[in-house]
Amino acid sequence: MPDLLFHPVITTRQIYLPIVEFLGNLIMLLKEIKIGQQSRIVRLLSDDTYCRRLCEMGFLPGTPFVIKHRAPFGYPISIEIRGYEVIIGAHDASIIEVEDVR
Amino acid sequence: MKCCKSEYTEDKIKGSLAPRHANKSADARHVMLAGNPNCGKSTIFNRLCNMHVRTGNYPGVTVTRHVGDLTSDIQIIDLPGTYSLSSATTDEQVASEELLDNDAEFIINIVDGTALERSLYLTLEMLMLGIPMILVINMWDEVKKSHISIDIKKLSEKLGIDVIPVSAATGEGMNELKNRILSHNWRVIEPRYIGSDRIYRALESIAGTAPKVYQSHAVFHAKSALQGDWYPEALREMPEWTDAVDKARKELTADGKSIYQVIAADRYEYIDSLLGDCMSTSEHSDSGSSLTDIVDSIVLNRYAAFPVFLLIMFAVYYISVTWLGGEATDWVNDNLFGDTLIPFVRDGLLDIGAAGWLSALAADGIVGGVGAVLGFVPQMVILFALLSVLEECGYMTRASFILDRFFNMLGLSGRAFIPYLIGSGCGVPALMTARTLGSESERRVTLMTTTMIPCGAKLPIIVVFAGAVFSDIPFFAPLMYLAGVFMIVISALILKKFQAFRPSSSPMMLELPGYHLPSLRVVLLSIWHRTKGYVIKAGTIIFPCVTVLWLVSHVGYIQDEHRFRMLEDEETELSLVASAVKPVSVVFEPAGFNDYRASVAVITGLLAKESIVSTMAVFTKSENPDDMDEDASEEDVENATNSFYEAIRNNMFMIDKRGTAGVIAALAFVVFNLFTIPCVAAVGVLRKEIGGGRLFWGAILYQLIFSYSAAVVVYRLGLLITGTGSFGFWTAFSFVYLLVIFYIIFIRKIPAENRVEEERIPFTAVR
Repeated sequence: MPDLLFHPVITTRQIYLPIVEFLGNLIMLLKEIKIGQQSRIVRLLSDDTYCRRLCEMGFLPGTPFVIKHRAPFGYPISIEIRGYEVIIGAHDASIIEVEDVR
Repeated sequence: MKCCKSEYTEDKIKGSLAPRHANKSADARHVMLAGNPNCGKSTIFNRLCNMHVRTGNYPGVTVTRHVGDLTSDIQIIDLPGTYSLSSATTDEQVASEELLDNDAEFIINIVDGTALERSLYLTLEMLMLGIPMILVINMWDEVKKSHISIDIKKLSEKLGIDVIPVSAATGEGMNELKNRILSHNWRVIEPRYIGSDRIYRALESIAGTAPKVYQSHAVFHAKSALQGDWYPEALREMPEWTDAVDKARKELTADGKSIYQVIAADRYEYIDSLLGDCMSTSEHSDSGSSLTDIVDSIVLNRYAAFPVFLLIMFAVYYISVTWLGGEATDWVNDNLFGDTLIPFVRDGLLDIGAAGWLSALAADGIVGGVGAVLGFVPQMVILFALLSVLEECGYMTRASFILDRFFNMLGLSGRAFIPYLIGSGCGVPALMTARTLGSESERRVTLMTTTMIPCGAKLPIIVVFAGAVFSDIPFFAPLMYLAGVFMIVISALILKKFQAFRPSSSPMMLELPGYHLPSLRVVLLSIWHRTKGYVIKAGTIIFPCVTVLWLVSHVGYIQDEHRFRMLEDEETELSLVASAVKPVSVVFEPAGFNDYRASVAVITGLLAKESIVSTMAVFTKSENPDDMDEDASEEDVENATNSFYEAIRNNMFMIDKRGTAGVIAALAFVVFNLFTIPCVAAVGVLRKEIGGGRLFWGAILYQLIFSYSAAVVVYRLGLLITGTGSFGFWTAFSFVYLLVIFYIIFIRKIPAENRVEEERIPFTAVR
């Protein structure tokens, strides 16, 4: 029992940080993907007009895509998806959750 | 749950997009060309009807529907492109509206063969309408060149409609398409939903509750209701219908996904399986990069993109305005009009015994005035050619892409670049192109500022002043375009601080088309049609304008003699126009150009901007042939332009007397005319596009005040800087004005969102 008193203190931070880091590696937003990286859409994080447009243009869970270009200031991003190339803005890029295709 | 559009929006889409039946004749059968943006609808339309509507290699060229006759009883209607029938922008609403209209008897769905997957999304949506339809796969030549092959027969079987491959660019397959339409064999199809059973059943359950009147489009209305789109008011008031909609939506979104995603995923799943059967990709899929990839690696390169863009823009305007265009204009003006035509008409008329005043009217007034405008035709040809190449090659959307961040700072999106660029050719199509912009505030700001880019008709003003007054300043013409950009930036920054123009976000989605070598035929046709418009304007507006102007500037009421008579050269101050306009011209005193001739030019400029130049030409008297030395023929060439330039310098702005002050006044005059309200044609379009009423008058008032103040600031501060004028009331005004602008741009806050304002987009998000 007294042993416990000498046990190193574990902060909550020490517990959740590795988990967050681990999950962070798995789930990314489209805006974090590098140019030329083969990726796949996991889900869309909103359900408004933006989401609707994206769905109509074929940005659906499971769809593979590649980032072709980024504009000089980072946004917008041009993406090749379903056999055509389309520009999407910063907001769109931050509501699309993606994963790597390895 | 909100899933219904307000009545306001219904009226708006039904009403504002008039003229709906302007050119449609009631007894002809109507064939609609529908498809995604930039899939070649207008090119096919031009081929079918032998017409020339604007085409270009970027999405959103067609913003209103065009009607053409294939035969006496079949009319082809070219619709703006749309990705779905739910319509987020005004041009897409036009398409949906027309298709839902009952007189659509036959739909030709045009798809881009190189992007079949996305294009078929709209095809499946239109099949729900139950209107006879065929599928036309465009860009077949490129499909054949690429690594994909499409099984036409299988596709046709699966979709249950005929499929015709064509290539609008080369004309391949066009005859087959034409014959297919002419055969009148428009197979009736049942409205149907192609996709999974789950959604089919949901739609059926809703459609089943619709009364008989609405049965024909019931499946489609059911889909619209599910997604919160527009559908008939009567259905919305039926409890059994709305209950069915709510129930179906709850079922479909049970797993937490949004309804759009469920419906879109279902449709794309079907398309994937369909194309899995009908399309095959050959092995040599990645044999080197395509032309588009190679060009884009430079043009869209993060570091090279801006320099390349600036270089292209500079090249276009430097070539067309200063270098090649300037040379061509000088040559025409000197040799054709100045040296040959004016003396020829004058002498010819005198020889056949016409009165002196008549020959002067014909030579100086009409030939001189109209000629001053026609002299710029070669320059127009070069400008239109370069703009057309730019529009056709596919660079427009790339420029939007590069400039998006820059435009964001102004509260606009990169797409706004397209109207501005088109505006450098002519403001009228540019104002209409603003329809493609996503948000209402963005549209308003663009509409109000597009005409500040010097258009083709303002180009003569720049060129004439560059020659007459500012010949010492290198790059004067490109600098004026830069000034236009500057004024737009300032305007946008001011406007975004006001409620009506408050920036609102809208999805920035723009398809990047592949590069195409512009077809010579299309470029030549486009030059021909735009130049023709310019020449016709010279005949219909400039000609009567200069005739009247010459007469009123050469006739005067002589007080002593109590009668009207032709004036002698030294009496021009007594002319009718002088006595009428002189009191008005005081208005321009603060800006330095209070000569009545300058004021007349400003007023005629409202009819057409090029008449500013022709007005100045009317006030110029050509050399009397009798006074001319016979040996001095070498100098004649110089004289023609010189007397014109001299008249501007010394009569209008009195540079010989006022010196630097006159030069600054001339600059203020140019600034005022370039940035003030556009010509009547553009004002008419502005009124229609901005929706009339307060906004329209606000726009006009803004443009007037903004340009006038800019002219005053240029003149008064110019005087102060060059030390030619003293500090006076108007100098103080200039400083205060600049301070106010500084305050608005840097200190004033963007107003809080005002939700009361109606949404234009007839679509409500469903949650």
